Amino acid sequence: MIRFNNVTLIYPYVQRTIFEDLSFEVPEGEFVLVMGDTGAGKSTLLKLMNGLVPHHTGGIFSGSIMVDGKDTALHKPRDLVDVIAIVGQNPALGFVTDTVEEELVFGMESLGVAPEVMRKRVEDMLDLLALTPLRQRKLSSLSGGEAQRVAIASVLTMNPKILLLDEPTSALDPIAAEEVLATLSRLVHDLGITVVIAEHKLERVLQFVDRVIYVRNEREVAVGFPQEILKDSTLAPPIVHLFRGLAGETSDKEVPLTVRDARRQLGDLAAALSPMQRNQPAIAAEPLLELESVAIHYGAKVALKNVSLAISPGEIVAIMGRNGAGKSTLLSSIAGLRKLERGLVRVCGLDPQILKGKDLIAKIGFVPQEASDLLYAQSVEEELRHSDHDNGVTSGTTSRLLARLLPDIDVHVHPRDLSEGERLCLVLAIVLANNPPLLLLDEPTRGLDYRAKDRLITAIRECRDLKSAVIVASHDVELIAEIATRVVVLADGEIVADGPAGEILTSSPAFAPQVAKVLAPAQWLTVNEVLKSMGKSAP
Amino acid sequence: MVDVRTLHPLAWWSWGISLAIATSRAGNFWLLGGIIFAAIIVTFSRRSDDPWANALSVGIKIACIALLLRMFIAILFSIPEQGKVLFTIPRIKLPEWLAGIFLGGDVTQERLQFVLLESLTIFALVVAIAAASSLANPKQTLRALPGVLHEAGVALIIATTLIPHFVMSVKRIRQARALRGDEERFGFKKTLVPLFEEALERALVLAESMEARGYGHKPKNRNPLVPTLTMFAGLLALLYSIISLVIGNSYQISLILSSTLIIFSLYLGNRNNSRTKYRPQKWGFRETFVLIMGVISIVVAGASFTLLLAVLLFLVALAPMLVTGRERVLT
Repeated sequence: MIRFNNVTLIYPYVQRTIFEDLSFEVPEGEFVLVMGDTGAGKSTLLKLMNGLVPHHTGGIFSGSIMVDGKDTALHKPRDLVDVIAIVGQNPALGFVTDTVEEELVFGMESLGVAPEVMRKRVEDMLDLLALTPLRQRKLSSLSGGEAQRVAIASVLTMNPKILLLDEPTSALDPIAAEEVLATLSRLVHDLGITVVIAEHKLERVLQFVDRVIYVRNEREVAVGFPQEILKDSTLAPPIVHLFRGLAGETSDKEVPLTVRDARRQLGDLAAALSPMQRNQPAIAAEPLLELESVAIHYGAKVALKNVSLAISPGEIVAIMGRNGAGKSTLLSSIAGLRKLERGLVRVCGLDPQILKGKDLIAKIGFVPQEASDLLYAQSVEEELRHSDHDNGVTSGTTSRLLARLLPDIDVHVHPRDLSEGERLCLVLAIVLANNPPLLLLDEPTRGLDYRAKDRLITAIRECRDLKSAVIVASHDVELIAEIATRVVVLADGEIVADGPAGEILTSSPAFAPQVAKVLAPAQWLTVNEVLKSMGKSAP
Repeated sequence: MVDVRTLHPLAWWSWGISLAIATSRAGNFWLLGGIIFAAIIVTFSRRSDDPWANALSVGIKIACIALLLRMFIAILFSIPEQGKVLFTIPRIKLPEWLAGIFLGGDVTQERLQFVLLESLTIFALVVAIAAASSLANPKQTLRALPGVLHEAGVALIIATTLIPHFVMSVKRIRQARALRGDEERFGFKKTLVPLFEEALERALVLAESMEARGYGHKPKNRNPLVPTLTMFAGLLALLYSIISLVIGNSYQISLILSSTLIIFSLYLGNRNNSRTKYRPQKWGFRETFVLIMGVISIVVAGASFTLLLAVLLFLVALAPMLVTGRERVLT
């Protein structure tokens, strides 16, 4: 269906080759996953497939790419819409109109599809993607998962044979992600569409895919069945790490990709494990952060109601909940960025709303969802200098911190040219420079690969060791399983659960990490915990 | 997209424009009052809750300011004329080079009446147009226009949806400044640079998404040269007639020629256009009724005045309420 013949791609003014001499083939009617480190070129690979690269971005291209027998070099993306369709990383940015139904017909109207056909296809798509209740809704009022489904429907109306998606679940909570992936799987099985997705959160997608394209580096791209590729790939979901650790690298058993497979293969091993002992860290008596019946509304919508919370130094608290449950509002009200309707917030005994400038950053370090908002300089070096100045620390402090997080960074590049993970590390270094007692992170793992996530975990643990309190709002259950000492679950602006990570995470099916699902009912959360208890070293 | 209760936006516009024409023909307080009240009643009982529905409230405010300003100027700068003097403002002597302009002086009843009628006509005109823009969904209006104008319409829609995004970005970036320990509320480099970077990035993503969805897809065998040239000739003729009008030559023939050329070029362009419309709003009985009522109001406003006529005009202008309901609200 998609064939790459000796494809090479170079961007002008950039030292690095993006791809060199790539040849592979994707068969028809399969669910294909593109995996690889951040910056390995997954998005570029997808855009090459439908010709956005190089038609839209420029670049030096050689070789040929055939999709359904058409050469992408000879056809512009707009002329290939009935063959191949793409949904970008943030679908909300790609919406052209303002209601769901208009968005679905936008492409068909451009193509001049007959009105009766359009009408029929819209109804079909609304049914197929379960969007009927949303058809009159404004696009700006949709949740992340809904927006993703509308974006998929809006390209499917043009009847493509291939559907490309760039990180379709990275901004979604586990349930919404599951819904989107199940929908995609249905498209493959019922309509015979070839679906290609790029995704970091392998634990979410591997159970659905038929084939994997593993982008190791610019020269090496392996295509194969998931079991083959994951046998020895460095990128792997926790389930595979657990299998490798327990069964040994050389095991001739097949690598399990679903929780069910893993339970079958590792069942006896799990029984042999000694029961989990997790000692709660000693918590200082004096809380660092106190919230007392905090309430915030946005118009008629309740963002937070009656939230009370006390957090002590040394705790790492994870805030979980659906999209729109109030996680971001909670964090920004702790940082004093929101006016409270009722209640009060105290950080180190002070009201964060009256903290300004240097006093604020001395107490609270906040990494917002769009971490790059904090950056404004023209190079990393300049940014580090500003940071030392803003934080009032001796020059070189921030750059030493950054060197720990990112040992081999080129300080002369523009922050926008860094990968998402590198940018997050830079922001983290800036925020941590004067060692604030309270660190807030809003959805820090969006677009991060496992390696970048490991660095983030190390940084957060170091903070805890320095007796800071850390609050992380995230959908990423694997990250939370690794770091959190305590989990707070929000629903509709209220705290519905608050307790030790082990208890909360294992008790809810939506938020349980893979290891917990495999080894349930024992309260294991991470691969490391399991291996350590068996006296094995971490992978 | 189509609801039984929403009227075709062009029907609302035909009603609004008819009332606007009627006001310029009315020239009488009673007739103008009838038009203004009818327009306001129809709008407030039939408009939706969408943001554009506020156009009338805004229009009335602007019209009030214009009316007061016009009256104030008329009283202050008087022109000596015959009539019943109501009151006198002390005259201020102006320098020699402003001869012919009088500040202060006698204010006559005739003059006041004339100015009031004139300002009320402008007031009614603004209200009629604002009423139509409150009632007609602007996006549906753009969709109802001929296909060649579609690209301009899409650009407008994108611009309107981007404004809220822009406001959000400014808020977020300001917050980010505070989080870096910046107390300055607005720094050029620190606010505008990230804002522009983000706007550019957003524009690129949007362009990519539109490209990937077939926007600008054109059948290859059509030649856009003929309609373009026709349009060009039409605009040239229009320019000629405007110049003729200004310098006082006869302009009628060139004006007719230019409008014919422009309409013909739109027709040609439309024939070349392969776009189709999804569930276009139908022009039905109700729309025709509203259009006819508009035309009748123009005719009635031009007839010689009686009080009965004013009542008739009010009722005719109010007639669209018979066939419409409240415009649908998007949720």
